Amino acid sequence: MTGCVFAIQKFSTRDGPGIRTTVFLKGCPLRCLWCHNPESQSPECEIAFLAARCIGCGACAAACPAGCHDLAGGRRFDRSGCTRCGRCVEACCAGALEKIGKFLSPEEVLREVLLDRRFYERSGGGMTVSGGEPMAQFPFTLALCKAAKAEHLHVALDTSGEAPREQYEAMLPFVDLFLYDLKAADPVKHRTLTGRDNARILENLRFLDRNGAAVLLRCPLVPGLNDSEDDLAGIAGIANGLARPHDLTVHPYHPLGVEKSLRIGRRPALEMREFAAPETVDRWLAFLRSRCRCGVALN
Amino acid sequence: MDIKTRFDIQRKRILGRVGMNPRILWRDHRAIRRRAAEEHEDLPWELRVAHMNRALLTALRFQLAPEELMIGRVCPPPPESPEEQAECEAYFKEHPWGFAPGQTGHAAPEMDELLAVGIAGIRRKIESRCSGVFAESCRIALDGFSRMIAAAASAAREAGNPEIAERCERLTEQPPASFRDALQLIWFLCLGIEVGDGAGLIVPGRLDRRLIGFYLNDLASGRITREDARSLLAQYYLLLNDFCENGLAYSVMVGGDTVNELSYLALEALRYSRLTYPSVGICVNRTTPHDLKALALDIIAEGLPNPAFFNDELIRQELCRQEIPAAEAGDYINSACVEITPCGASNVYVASPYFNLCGTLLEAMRGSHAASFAEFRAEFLAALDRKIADGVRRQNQFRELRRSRMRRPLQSIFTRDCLERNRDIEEGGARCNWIECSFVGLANLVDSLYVIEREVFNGGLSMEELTRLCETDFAGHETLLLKFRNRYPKYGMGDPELDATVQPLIDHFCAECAKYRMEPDGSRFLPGAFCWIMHQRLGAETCATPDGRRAGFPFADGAGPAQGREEFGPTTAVRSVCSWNHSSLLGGSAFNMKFGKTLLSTPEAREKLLALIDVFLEGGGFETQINVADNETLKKAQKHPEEYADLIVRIGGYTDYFVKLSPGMQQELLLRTEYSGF
Repeated sequence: MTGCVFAIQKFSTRDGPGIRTTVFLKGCPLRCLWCHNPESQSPECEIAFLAARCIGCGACAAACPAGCHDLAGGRRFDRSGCTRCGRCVEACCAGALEKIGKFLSPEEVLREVLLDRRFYERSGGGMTVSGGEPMAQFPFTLALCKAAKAEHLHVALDTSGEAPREQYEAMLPFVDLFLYDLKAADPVKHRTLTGRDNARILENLRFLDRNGAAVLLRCPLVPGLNDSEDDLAGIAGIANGLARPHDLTVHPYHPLGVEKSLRIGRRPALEMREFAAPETVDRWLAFLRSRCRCGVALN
Repeated sequence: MDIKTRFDIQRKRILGRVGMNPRILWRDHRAIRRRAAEEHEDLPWELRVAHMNRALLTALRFQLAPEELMIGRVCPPPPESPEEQAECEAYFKEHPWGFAPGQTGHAAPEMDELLAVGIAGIRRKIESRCSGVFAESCRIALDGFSRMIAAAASAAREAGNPEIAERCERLTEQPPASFRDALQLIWFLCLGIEVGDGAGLIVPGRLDRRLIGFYLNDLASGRITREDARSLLAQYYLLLNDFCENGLAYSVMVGGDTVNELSYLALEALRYSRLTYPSVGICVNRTTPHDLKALALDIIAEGLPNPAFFNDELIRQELCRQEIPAAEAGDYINSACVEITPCGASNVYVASPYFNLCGTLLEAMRGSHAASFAEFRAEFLAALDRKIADGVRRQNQFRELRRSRMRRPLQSIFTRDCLERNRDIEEGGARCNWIECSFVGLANLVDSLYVIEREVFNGGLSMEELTRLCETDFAGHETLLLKFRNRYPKYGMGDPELDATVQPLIDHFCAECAKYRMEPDGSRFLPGAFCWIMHQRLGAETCATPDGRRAGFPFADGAGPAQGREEFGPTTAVRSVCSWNHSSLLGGSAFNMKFGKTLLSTPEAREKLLALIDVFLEGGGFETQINVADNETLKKAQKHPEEYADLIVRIGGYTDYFVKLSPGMQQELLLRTEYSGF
């Protein structure tokens, strides 16, 4: 059994406690407008092109069996004929072409994760499974977390909540901490912003809450999109409505995902190129702190 | 006057300095030395040198301002006209005693005895132990030292500070009776040796060990508070910054097998001095209190001069292996970056010399007709061995020149066992006379050998072709450069096969160095892997290398990966660096890590960094320093983002490499210090 993984990031310091390795899985049922890992949305492998690294040598054009690369009249990568064979990636020495998405078994992934075991032990860290939406590759994610627990690693799952409840139920014994996204309280708004409404997401959250799971709520906030006082009050309402207080972290919008969209030949869903201003973030924190009974922090 | 004001005024004065620092002015001043030499031309040359020392010390004049807590700021020497300088040059060409090449100083002097018995006690020791010319030279130098302190007393009196004046008057003969006395005397000692003997980088060393008795006594008797001691240490630091020019290293070290309140205060004092010197290193072992390490990280996060973390157990073990008695093995100092010397007993030459590993590699490539990689590797090592032999020869020459022309009587008095052996430090009187060399560009060498094995001996490239590519900076063959840089694993990426090639190289360096014994005393020649700035300097004069490094580009710093190799993050870099044994590298083995400010911005984040450092040290790392990419450096780095390829971006749920971002975004991130996640 394999899963499609697009990154294994070491020394992750913002994906749970301690020093962690974050495994990023490819594929997501949502299409959040602000997504900072746009390369994670499609479950298929993709070829990324990093223009800044291209030296115009033409090795990719020579290697491509479908004539997708063209240097004449400016660098052009026509993905319509691309089969993701990866020959251009092989041929490029400048690192301007990358294949995003690799099929790995849970054992292979865990072996990589275990290399940093001493750092986890020293810092109270572990493994985080993220993406994309890891639950979209449920069998793989379950097997990976099971194997990690067998090695006594702390396991965190970074999830949107958009998956069948039975799957979260099956994950419960193998996940120490759920990093759970809360994007909008209003279902219509949620659908506009992410492509799905939030019914199942909220049901799953309540399920985890009732069943004693450790949950950290993650709120990506985008100026002008989901950060009005009503929006924030809605988020606070959801948090306060849970049986136990689960801390909430605010994730201010940042534009680093925009470049990644361009690399995979897509236009970013949101053409917002500024970081959220510090004053805006302060305002969010102040408001949420005034409303939430749980702790509110910046990620 | 409150403390903050006192230090603000002094800092402003120091930062606003126009013209050269006193250290350089006194080091380069000739007329005083010449006059002393001329006046005593009838004496043996060793005594003439002693008189030169004394003349310098007695010529020192001090200034004391109301905001200063200690006296120690020296006036510049009388200016010399170009004619005078030329005449002195001519004189010393004809009378070459008192100057000799080679590396000097880089030591912490012996202090405990001086602090216990005072100058009078030292004088008695000289009288009872020493004889002949050496004894006389010591008397002369010690007299100069005492008079220097008397001059400080006068200056203090004139400045209307009777307390400091009285203190200095006592210290001309008597042992210190308080913390203030002791710290003042340590300043005078280091200053005196540096100016009088012309020995550079005489460092205060293990202040927590030296001063704890005085501190506790004063605390008990109510003569001093914790805050007073901290302010006094900060005052010492300020004096250092006034005296020395930028670009050097002056070291204080704390911790190791002695951790006390002063270990903390020496670090906290940096918050008050807030200038370049000294570096305060922490010696870390299993028993080091967590809060001392956390304090060091707080200091780093505050953007203050960087505490470095040293592997105390490893260093002590290695010192014992080099026959330092176990009881003394904990009392060492970095001299003054990462090179290790025993406090109070060292005439160790450090960084003597630096070896350009890749320069030698290219030489071997030029002349090679090897039929196999094993053969080529042997050719390279043979070429390096010749360099080492040359290096040793040169150091022996320096020693001989120093023995025949140079004496440092004041440094000798305060270096064990010169008085016991009745011999000047330049005659080998010190207990420890190692020579420590340093191999520059280890990562580039390792990475280059890996490419050579595969491209030349298992690929279609000839050695001549590869050599030509390097010599022409891969002109017209950009793709090959990129292939060598991007398509081969590198040291720092945790590749087991590549990492495994490091230990045999290190073993060879160590074994080769161990073959040598310096003349005439048989002391050892020890290897190191640190660079100071030589990774830049030597890199600037070396052509491109097979690892894909461009001509003129700096080599890797110390024992760490080359720039741009840390794409896999610091944990992977640590694993590579800890994959081989550093313990034999007493010459220093440095591993620098670079982080953006926000990775140090909360106590929680700093705990993660500390865990990283602990795993590094527990894994056998020698030393590490955390460099914070602050706004100043980052603005400069905008011109060379490739030198910041090891910066990592950490945002929750997000993944990317800094190097993949567009230059515009890189630059934006470089300047962003709020909670964007960087």
